[in-house]
Amino acid sequence: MSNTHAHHPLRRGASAAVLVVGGRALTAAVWASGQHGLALASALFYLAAAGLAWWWAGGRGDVAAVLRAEGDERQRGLDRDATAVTGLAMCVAAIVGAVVETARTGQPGAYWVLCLVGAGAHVVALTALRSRR
Amino acid sequence: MERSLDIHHNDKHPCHVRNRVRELRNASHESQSALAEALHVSRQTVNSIENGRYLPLRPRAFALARHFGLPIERLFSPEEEP
Repeated sequence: MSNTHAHHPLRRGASAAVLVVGGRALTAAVWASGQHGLALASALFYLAAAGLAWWWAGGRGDVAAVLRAEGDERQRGLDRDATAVTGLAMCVAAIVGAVVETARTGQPGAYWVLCLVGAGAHVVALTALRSRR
Repeated sequence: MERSLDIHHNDKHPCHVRNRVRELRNASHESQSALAEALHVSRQTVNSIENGRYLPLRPRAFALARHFGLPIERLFSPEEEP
């Protein structure tokens, strides 16, 4: 696991592959909606992001190891904590969005779905994970 | 030199965990990279342990103790606050 070791070449592309697949799906959706210029811009953006992820994943640091999905216990812990912070940020954004949208239109719009998913996922995760420790 | 990491096993009695990893590694003229390779962790993780920023999980802590041929309590020692 030492970062002095050469990493597996397939691992290096893990995050880039996620960006390519996700970006391609989004690009296809935008293209299908008829916004071809935006679709091309989206494709270029995700290709560039995938290239950046590929380049970064070739490094020796903690972030590179996480991008390769091959970190040790500490690096996996960092990734887990960062994921939790990300989830909290998204939940706050969803709640703020629901409040603002309700104030503007009288309806929370799609934000309520995000709030529901966030709350539901948290309860399910707590219930499932508590049996493991 | 011993490094310590603050952990809180309860609110009233914070506990410092000291370790002698750097001292023992230096004594055995071993690099961080070599120790990391022996433990199957990254060099950054060895550095974090030595600096007291990261307390390894028990299997890794036992592996560290085994690596230096010491019982784990000689490598990591809790120190209660007065």
